[in-house]
Amino acid sequence: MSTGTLTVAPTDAGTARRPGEVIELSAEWSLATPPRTLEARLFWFTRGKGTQDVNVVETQPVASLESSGKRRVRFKLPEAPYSFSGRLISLIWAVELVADDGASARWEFTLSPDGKEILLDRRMASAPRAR
Amino acid sequence: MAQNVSISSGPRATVGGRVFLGFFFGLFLLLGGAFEYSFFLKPLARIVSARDWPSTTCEIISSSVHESRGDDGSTYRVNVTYRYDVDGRAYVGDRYKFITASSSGYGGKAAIVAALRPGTRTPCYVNPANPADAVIERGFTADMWFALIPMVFVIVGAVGLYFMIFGRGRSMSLSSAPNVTLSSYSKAAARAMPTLLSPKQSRGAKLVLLTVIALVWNGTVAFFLFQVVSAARRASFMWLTTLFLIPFVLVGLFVIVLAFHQALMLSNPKPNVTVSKPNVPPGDELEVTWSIDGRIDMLRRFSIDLEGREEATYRRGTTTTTDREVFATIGVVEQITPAIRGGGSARVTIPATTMHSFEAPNNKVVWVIRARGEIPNWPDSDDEFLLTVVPHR
Repeated sequence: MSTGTLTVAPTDAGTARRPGEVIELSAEWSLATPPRTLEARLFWFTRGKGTQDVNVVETQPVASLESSGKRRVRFKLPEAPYSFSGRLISLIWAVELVADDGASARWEFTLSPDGKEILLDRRMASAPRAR
Repeated sequence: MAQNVSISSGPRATVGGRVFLGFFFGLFLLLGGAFEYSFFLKPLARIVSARDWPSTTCEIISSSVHESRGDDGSTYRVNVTYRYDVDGRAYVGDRYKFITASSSGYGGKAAIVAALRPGTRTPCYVNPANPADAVIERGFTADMWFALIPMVFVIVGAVGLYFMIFGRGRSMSLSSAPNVTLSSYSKAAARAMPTLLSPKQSRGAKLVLLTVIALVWNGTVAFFLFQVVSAARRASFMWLTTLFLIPFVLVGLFVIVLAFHQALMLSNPKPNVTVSKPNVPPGDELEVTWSIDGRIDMLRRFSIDLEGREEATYRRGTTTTTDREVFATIGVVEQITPAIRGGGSARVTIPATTMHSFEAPNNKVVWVIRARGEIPNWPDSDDEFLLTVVPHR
């Protein structure tokens, strides 16, 4: 892995994002050796007790053979799955900037209708049953 | 630098584990198959062909019970030589029956030898295509049943390989990862029509599964148990083997009890559940209609709940385990005898801020309609019907 820095961050503040929204990010890198490929990946992954699941939703090339630079990347967010967290599983959305030698930077965000992570770690109140 | 697991260094497929399992199940299949061929199928083929062999008279030259000593006790077989004539030419044979392996049980072999003393004349059967090929007992003998026991290994190997190749639990590569988008949900949600839900797993399928497990497990254990009992009858009790077998026997008995329990459940009243739409977003109302087939008078209590739960699958060594955690229980109906009716309907609202159904290879959020029947002095029923909660549109 080459030495240097990679950063990826949204152009507007905040991590709350909604389905269908377009996000714009600033990708910046300064590496000792120019990467053959540098790409941004929109993906989600699970964290928790289960074996990890990962799904890359979209990949965009950022640069090639440039040891440093700054670019803007845009992704249209899908409708699902929402970010959630339970006692066993959490689902996290992120954009990662990855160089071909493995160097990477990540920005995590939440995707849901109100921009908040859905919490499953409490028992929902039971509605009265019909009799 | 990114924290935690990067997708560029995400989970690797457990190739080593799959190779090990493949080798393990393949070995079961190969050894079990080889044993079955040698000790069951090949003798069986000869028994069938010998049905047409002509009979002649053989004179016994010698007979004895041959003992083979092993660590777990002795096994025995009949040793016999006899002479017979075909077309004026004399032949000597030494085959008593087509299955040649030794087995436990001295008494039966001794009785055969007692009936075949030197000088005794007895019928034997000669292969017309090869007069040097003869046999005294050409039929199916009881010890051939024991040669069927290794069929358990064949079944375990074949079923294991099948599920390893075609079943779930395949590790996910990034390129094959599920792409959860709304397109499929939206199309499904558009079909907002009453739908009769199918049970997640039928009672009959559960019974078949438990029966197969009980047969495979107990068949294997019985093979070893038979050796212990045979040794005990010869006054050479195998203490260590017996102690080792006890937990396996107990597990086998437990599986039999489970299968029996499941068999009893087949006669339980069977709920049918219809929902106003098969795919419902959070915050929407759902009408649940139910009817009960069978003897409603058996029920002491009947309830239907809408249940949301997480299911996380992980591997520990060679074992795959799924943990479940319920995060939502929404009551639909609860009736207690004598107010239990054969059917009805009720409306429930899916919580507005809950998680939609989500399915990845190892992690799931599942919504089910769960119908439970409490029956005095009888196994209770518990049936699940899968419901899809879709993301907001």
